[in-house]
Amino acid sequence: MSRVTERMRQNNKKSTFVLQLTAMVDMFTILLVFLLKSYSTSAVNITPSEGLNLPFSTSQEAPIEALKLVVAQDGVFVGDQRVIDFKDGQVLNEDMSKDDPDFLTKLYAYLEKEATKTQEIAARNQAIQFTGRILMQADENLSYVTLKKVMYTASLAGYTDLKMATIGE
Amino acid sequence: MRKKTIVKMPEEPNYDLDLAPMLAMMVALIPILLLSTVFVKVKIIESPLPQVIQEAIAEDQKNGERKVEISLEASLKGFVLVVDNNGRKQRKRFSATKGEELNLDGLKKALIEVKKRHPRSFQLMLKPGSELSYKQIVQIMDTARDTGKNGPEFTVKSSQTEEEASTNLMFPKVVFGNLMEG
Repeated sequence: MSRVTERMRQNNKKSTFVLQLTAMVDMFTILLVFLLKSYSTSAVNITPSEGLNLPFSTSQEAPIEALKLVVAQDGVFVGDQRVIDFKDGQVLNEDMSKDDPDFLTKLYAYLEKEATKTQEIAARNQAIQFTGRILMQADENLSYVTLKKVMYTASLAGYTDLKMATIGE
Repeated sequence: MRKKTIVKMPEEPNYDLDLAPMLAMMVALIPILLLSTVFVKVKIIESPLPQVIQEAIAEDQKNGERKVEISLEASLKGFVLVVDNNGRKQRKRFSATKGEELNLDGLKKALIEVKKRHPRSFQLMLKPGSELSYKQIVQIMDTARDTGKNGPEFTVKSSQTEEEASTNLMFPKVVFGNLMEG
């Protein structure tokens, strides 16, 4: 047997098994830096609902706290509450006012209730103010006809300061 | 004869860095970050505007009776840009589509021309057609907002301090002009 082979055999007997964690720690460090970079510290958390595609925009404005109005392909939601239903992205005739087809009665009633509630709280608590601000998260494929009805109704209910949520670049 | 002394050099210490606690911390930290990270990019708060331009925008917003009113009628049939300067209306009609996409380059050129003539106007009244989608409306609003990174800049002079500042902002405030129309 050669001298080299003999030495290798001796070395193998003495060695203990050490798990090499360096590569794994490297990977975790990269992952941690990436996650910390994309970690959002914004006070306003907008989580788009499933099936709701927000449009892309070059706007750099940060979202602000406001009443959340979701206009999806299947209906309008205020917060988590479904207020009216759509069929193929269109408002149903039963939800429109007979006198004014842009006026959505159910949505108006709900938003007016919300506005009154906030105004009552604002009357008792000076720290809260009714700003009439509404944050609309609308699906990019919805037509302006549908959106116009929602925006028109919201403005009549007192929500005149409309903010549109989009996805940044 | 002198005795030869052999100096034994101390052996280099061979130790492994104990990475286990660091690894344990990372294993705990990564799931927390994965759960709480929002991958949809939320906008960053920025205030890139010089004081002069902010003043000009505020003045333009305060101006109840506007001398210059710029409106854009947008539909798939065509864009109509109307500049109402003290009652004198100038209309410019051009194609709204370029292939299957909106003619945003043409729109930007037309808006830049208007902005050059009226650098103190920051509001655009948008009147979208019913057939336009929300995505297309947002594209039009993006086009009207600024000239882009390499686009031309406009000089705005402060009415109070006579100070001048340049900006690539065109019409950051877009108002839906036909929202209340039946």
